[in-house]
Formats: sequence, structure tokens, C-alpha cells
Amino acid sequence: MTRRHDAEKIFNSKRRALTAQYQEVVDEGGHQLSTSLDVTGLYAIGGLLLVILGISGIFLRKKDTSWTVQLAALMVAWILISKGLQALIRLLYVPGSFGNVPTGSMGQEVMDGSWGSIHSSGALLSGSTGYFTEVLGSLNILLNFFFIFLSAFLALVFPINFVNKERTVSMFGVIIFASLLISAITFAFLPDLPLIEGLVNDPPAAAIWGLIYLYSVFNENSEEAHWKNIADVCALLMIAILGSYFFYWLGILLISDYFLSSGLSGTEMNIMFYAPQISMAFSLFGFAILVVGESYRSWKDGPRLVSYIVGMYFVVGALSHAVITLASDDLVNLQSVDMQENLFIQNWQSFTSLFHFYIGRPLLFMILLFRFNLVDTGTAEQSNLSRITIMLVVVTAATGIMEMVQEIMPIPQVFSAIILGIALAFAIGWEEKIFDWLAKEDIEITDPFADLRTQEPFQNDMAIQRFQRTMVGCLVLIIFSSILIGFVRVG
Amino acid sequence: MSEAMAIVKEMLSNRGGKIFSGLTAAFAVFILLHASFFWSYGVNLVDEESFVHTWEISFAESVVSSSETTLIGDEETYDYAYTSERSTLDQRMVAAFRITVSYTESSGGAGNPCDSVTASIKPSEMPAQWTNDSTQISGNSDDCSDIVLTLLVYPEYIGQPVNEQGVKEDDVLEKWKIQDYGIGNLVCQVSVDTTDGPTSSLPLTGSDEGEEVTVTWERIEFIPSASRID
Repeated sequence: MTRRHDAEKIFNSKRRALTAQYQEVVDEGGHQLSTSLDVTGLYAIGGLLLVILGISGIFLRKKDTSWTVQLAALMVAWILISKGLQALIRLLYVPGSFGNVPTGSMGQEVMDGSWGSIHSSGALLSGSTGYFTEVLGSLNILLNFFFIFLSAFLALVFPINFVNKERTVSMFGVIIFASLLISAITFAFLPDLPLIEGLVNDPPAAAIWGLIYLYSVFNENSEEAHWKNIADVCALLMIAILGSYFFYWLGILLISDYFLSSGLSGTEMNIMFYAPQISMAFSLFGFAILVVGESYRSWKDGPRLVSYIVGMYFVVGALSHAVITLASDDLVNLQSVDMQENLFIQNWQSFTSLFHFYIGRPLLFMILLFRFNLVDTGTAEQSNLSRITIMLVVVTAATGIMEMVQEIMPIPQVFSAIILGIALAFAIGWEEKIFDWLAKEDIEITDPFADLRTQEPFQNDMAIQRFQRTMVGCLVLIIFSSILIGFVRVG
Repeated sequence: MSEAMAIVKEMLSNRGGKIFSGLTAAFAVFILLHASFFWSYGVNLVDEESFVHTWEISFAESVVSSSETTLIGDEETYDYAYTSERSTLDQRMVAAFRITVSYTESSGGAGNPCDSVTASIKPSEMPAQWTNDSTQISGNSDDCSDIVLTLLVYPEYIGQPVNEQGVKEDDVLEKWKIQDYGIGNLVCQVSVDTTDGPTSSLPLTGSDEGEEVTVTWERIEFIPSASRID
């Protein structure tokens, strides 16, 4: 099979791009099929949620605990910040250029800004973008790399530390910084190189957390609280990192056509082109582990919060397959919302994947940070900041859900204000309950394999501080690299 | 043995570890199945659905015609009207209009020369290539030859096969399936200026007082089809 190498022509991916000049897609019979869905409000809300939570995580980081937990708290905080900034950057895109803003009613809305999905959307390769757009595009991609590296390394240290060395923290910082630098150089000078960043974090997320999760669930002492907590932590992390594809588990399991044509990256049919599919398949692996584990836990001890979350993903995933198969004549790309696709599919994808990215993920990480004591809520000042953060996240998430509902079923503003008011009243009324559930229980993630450790426990405070500084350095690197990449690509 | 290996070994030896191994084995089988499916069936699917190909677009033409004949007096002008309706197109597109104005010398006078006939299409709101160089919307004749006017309608249509690039057949045909072009009203304005022959002043010979002019409207239509050439 021969392929065209002209970047402007290759991989437009979705054929509807050719109809981009039409604001509405009209079928042969002249019936109106779709208009576009504006989800920019969701990016603003999701972005703010993630950034607020991330900054709170840094400020509230628990300092009187093991360096593993401190490092995990910092990594989670920076994961949140990177994803939050990515969401906020998307607000600035120019319609019709990189990533395509949905208000432009054309093109595709790449949901999570991965290299592969941007390749497959044809965005960034359009060759007609301006400097500012290129900078924003680079920021988006490099922040996604930041998230990828952080989440891959997080699996190695939390909740079970597999790299229990004094130099681990420093090495992590250096490797993440160097990886970002290499990624920036690659992106600047070899933009057509298909990168398969999904393979960096998806397999560790599924395999490492999956193994720890199953070990905890089926442990002979699984009645003990700390095994339950470790299982919950692993499940939350797996859902937060891999969850967007959980909504398509049935399609992936059945190797449906839309799965086979999603996530592909590059311009040649080679192994690099195929590799992103493997990373999506790893999501199915992770999901299968969670379904087995939560089924067992529910049968044995009754369902927990995680069981309900997994159950929700299970049901929605089954429905997604029916919806995508029945409601669309085209192959739906799981990594982007096609703005030329019919409105039902757009809504469905928004309510599933975008919901996961911009509302579900912040809430999951909030539970992780506060319920499992990665942050300190002990002192009065910290307690106040925690309360503010939790309420802000809960209320903003409620607003996000309202925004989505409003987009799909335009409710008169008076009614939506009333509904939001009721939600706020409940949130404030339950403020104490929510805060108590999240922060009052003294759940500590301790090392269950202390007896297998050959190295004596050690403190690593200086290294943690250096790691924090390195992460700030990574952010600066991302910003400066993007500014330079803009020059390289436009020039 | 390193700490990490000891921990992994401990985990795998537990019931949960065994279930994990089982699920991993099942996942490995799934990956193999998926890989074989992808490289046998998926690549063709992706090729058809995602990659840009070159297509040859060819056009099957047909012509629909109608005509109207009217006697136009000397130094008079008559408007021949034509309406092109979408409902009559079915799946076809309008490529162009060819308007033929024909007449013969009908005065019967011996030696009467052909009259002078002028025809023009009045610009209308019909979407068409009014300013195209090949569009001919006026003409005249004084030797009884036909006046042939041409109004090109469909942009870029030349009647010959063309190559287009696109992902799917529908994509490349989309450009050639716009039925808005060539829909509307056309008016062909025809004026007659009779010319009397040298015998017209003689008694018992009639003078030339008008001409019977026939306007034939031909709507040239096409149906595009695409075949992949790479």
C-alpha cells in the first residue's frame, strides 16, 4: 500500500473534513443531520478544577509521612496541573486550526491532546497555522507528555514502592525533565514521527496497579483495612488514568471497526502505526482486572464506592458500543469528537469521554488526595484550605455537569440557576459530611511489604524538595520549548 | 534478589497474583487475536476510512431539451422563458445550458434575404458561470444560420474525467453533487429585424413583416462516478 507523504494531505483521518465548509451536514435527502456541540465551558470548568486541586495538593502535601507518599502526592498534584493547563489552553485555540474548537462547528475536537489523536485528527499538520496556535499546540502536547511521564513513574512508587532507593526521587526528576526535553526536540524537528506515548503510561498503569489491586483484593488478610485501602487506591488510579477507554470496553473487546480505526498514529502502515491500539487494549486489560476484583469484593463484602464507579463504567461502556454502532454510519474515532458527526454521537462522546477527563478525573483524584491522606488537613489553616478546595471542586463539578446538560437539553437559564442553587444548597448542607468522609478518617497508606525490604527506611526530604523544584523546571521547560517550537514550525 | 523482584514474586504467588496471571494470559491471547485481525482486516478498513487516495471522476452526460416557436414581428423583441427545476433533476447535476435560436426566411418573396436576428440570455439569479470566458450569452445571425448560446453552469466541469484526492468515494463526489447550480429561470431575448428583398416593392409581392423563430433549450446534465486509481 502506498501512502502520500504530504503532511497536508495525509491522515485527514475522518473523511468529513472535506465537508468542513458546511456548517451543517445535510444528507442526500436534504435532512439536517447535525449541528456542532460547544463544550468550551467544560474545558474552562475542568481546567480550573484540575489546576485548583493540583495547587492545593502541592500546598497541602503531607510532610510527616514516608517519602513515597510525599512523592506520590507531588506527582498527583503535577498530573492535575498538567491536565488542567491543557484544558485551559484548549480554550484559546483558534477555530479551524490546531485541535479545532467546537464553536467553529467543523473539524474534530481532540479530547485529550495526545500526539496520536492530534495526528489522527489531521490537526497541527494542516500547515496553515499561525505562530500563536503553534505555541498553544506545543504546550498542549508537551503538557500531555508531562502527564504521561508522571503517571508512568507514579505506578512504580505508589501505593507499593518498587524502586526503594535513595536516589529514586532525584532520578525520577531528572528522567522526567530529560524526557520532556527530548520530546520537545523531537516535536520541533520531527513532527511527523509517530510517537506512541500511550505505551509509556497505559501498560504500567494496567499491569502494576492491576497486580497490586488483585493481590490486595484476594489477599488472605483482605479484611484488614489497609488492603482494602490499597485496592481502592489502585482502582482509583487505574480509573483516573485509563478510564476514558473504559467507556469503550465492549467495542475494544469485540475488536469492532471503530476501535480498529481509532488512535492510529503516523503515515505508514507499520508497527508504530499500530502501537497506539495496544495502549488502548491495555485499558481493557485494566478494566477486566477491576471488573473481576470489584465483582469479588461486592459478592464478598458488599459493594464499595469503587464498585459503583466500575459498575457505571461497565454499563456506559456497553451502551457506548450500541450507540456508536447504531447511531453513526461513519467510524467514530474514540480519541476525538468529530464535529461533523451527528449530534447524538457528539453528545454521547462528550458525556462519556469529556465527562471523564474534565469532571470524573478531578473528582477521582480529589478522593485519592484527601481520603487517603496524601495531603495534610490537620492544622486549622490546612483544614480551611482543604474545605475550600473540596467545596470548590464539588461545586465546580456540579456546574460542569449542569453545563453539559445545558448544552444537550437547553434548559431556560432560570431553571438551570434553580437546579444549580439546589445543588449548591445540598453541597453546603453536606459540606461537613463530605469533608468528614474525605478528610476526617485517618487512612494511611503504609508499606505492606516492609518485611521484604532489605534497605532500612530513610527520609528523603531534600530530594522531595529538589523534585518539586525540578517539576517547576519542567513547567518552565515546557513553556520555553513551546515558544521556540512555535518559531521552528512557523519558520 | 532485589526488593522489587521479591515483592513481585510474593504478589504473583498469592491467589490474586494467580488471577492476574490468568488475566494476563487471556490478554496476551486477545492481543494476538487483535494483531492478526488488525493486520488482515483492519489495515484495509483504515486504508479505506482514513487515508487519502486518488480517484478518477468520470461523468455520464444526458440532455433534456424543449423548444418554443413564436412569430416575432419586424423590430420586435420576444422573451422566451425557461424554468429549470430541481424536481426534474433526480440524481443529476446541471452542467450547462445550450440555447439554439433557429429561423428560416419565411416571407416567401422571391429573392428575399435572411432577416437579422439577435438573441441574448438575460443574466438572472440562477447560480451559473455567468462570467466564464466560455459562456456565450449573446449572438446574432443574418444568414439564417442558427445562433447557439452556451451558459456554463457547474464550476470546473469540463465534461472530461478529472482526478481528485480524497479519503472515500463520497468525499470526492461531494464536490460534484451540488444540485443548487442551474436551478432557476432563464430568459432568452430574441429581436428580429426583417430585410426586404429587391422585389418587395413590386406589386403583388409581399413585404417581410416578421419571422418565425424557434428557441431550443437544452439542459446538459451529468451524473458523476468515481473509481480509485491508487
